[in-house]
Amino acid sequence: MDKAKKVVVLPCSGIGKAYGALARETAYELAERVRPGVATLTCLPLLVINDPAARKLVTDHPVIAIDGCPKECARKSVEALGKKPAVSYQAIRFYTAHKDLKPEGVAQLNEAGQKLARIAADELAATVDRLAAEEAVAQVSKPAGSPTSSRPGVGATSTSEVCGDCGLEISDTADSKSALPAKEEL
Amino acid sequence: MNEIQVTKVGIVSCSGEEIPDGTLCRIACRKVLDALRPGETVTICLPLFIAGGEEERSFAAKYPTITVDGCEKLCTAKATEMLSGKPGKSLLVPEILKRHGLPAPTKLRHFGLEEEPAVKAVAEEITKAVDEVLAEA
Ligand code: SF4
Ligand code: SF4
Repeated sequence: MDKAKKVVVLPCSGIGKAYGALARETAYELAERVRPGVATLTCLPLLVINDPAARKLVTDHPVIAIDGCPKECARKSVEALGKKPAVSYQAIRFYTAHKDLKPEGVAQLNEAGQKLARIAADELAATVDRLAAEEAVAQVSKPAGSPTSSRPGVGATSTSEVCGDCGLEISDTADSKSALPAKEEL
Repeated sequence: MNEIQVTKVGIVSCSGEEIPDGTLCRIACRKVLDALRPGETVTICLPLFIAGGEEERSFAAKYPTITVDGCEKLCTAKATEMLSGKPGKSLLVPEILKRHGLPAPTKLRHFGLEEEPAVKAVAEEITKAVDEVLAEA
């Protein structure tokens, strides 16, 4: 597969919260429906055990981290490899943008949560496209043998807000060109 | 006065985003946590062993722990042992399915009737392991 066309979508492994399930469902939507073949999944626990193939996938390609709570396991697991995700979100942000769709359920999301994941994935499609295109350009301009890691942290800004509904901190390392609008624009 | 000691068993599931058996792990573990042994079990999100603090890393020291993995990579068993403590029991989904003569699931999400026998078999084995750990405690 063309290495330049992969964007890793890394949801956290939330097993106790609906927003962890929402993070995962959004990643599945991206990988299976919205951008199949480009949006690529890997099991986050593989990073926890330092699996070489998963480590290489994540260090070689841009990463979109989607977390279920302020513990930000997906983002931190990428950072533990010495790389910053190109974009990272907390899934609650998808809900604050679409408050008519309250995600519920942990093992399986309710219908509203599934719909919210579909919408969030559609909104993230442009970000996936941009990261894939930037990665392709980076591949072409890099001399053979140079590291393929995508621009860690380039153009990233960190913001931190508190959700008015639940009090959870929403801290995004969001690229300024992210397709999903910043919270105040939603 | 007799002191009543309530012992809980920790269940740590792999999340297996990439593999249908990982999804099976999660759903079966939730079934045990929520329906089959709700009072006797606790869980933790696996990546908290890295992303969390000392409190999270002490999970396996605090609770006798059962790990449940979706494939031979054994992420949960290895991560728990490396970062928290030796698990009391380690279960592997493909082995359970083989023992029960059940096919592996093929979907990553939206499990339904087709996957129900597999979910039931894995959940029952986790429950059995919980009961054994409690009996030994
Ligand atoms: S970010 Fe929160 S919900 Fe997701 S795995 Fe970590 S602790 Fe669990
Ligand atoms: S044990 Fe297998 S299915 Fe589970 S997280 Fe690891 S690689 Fe994925």
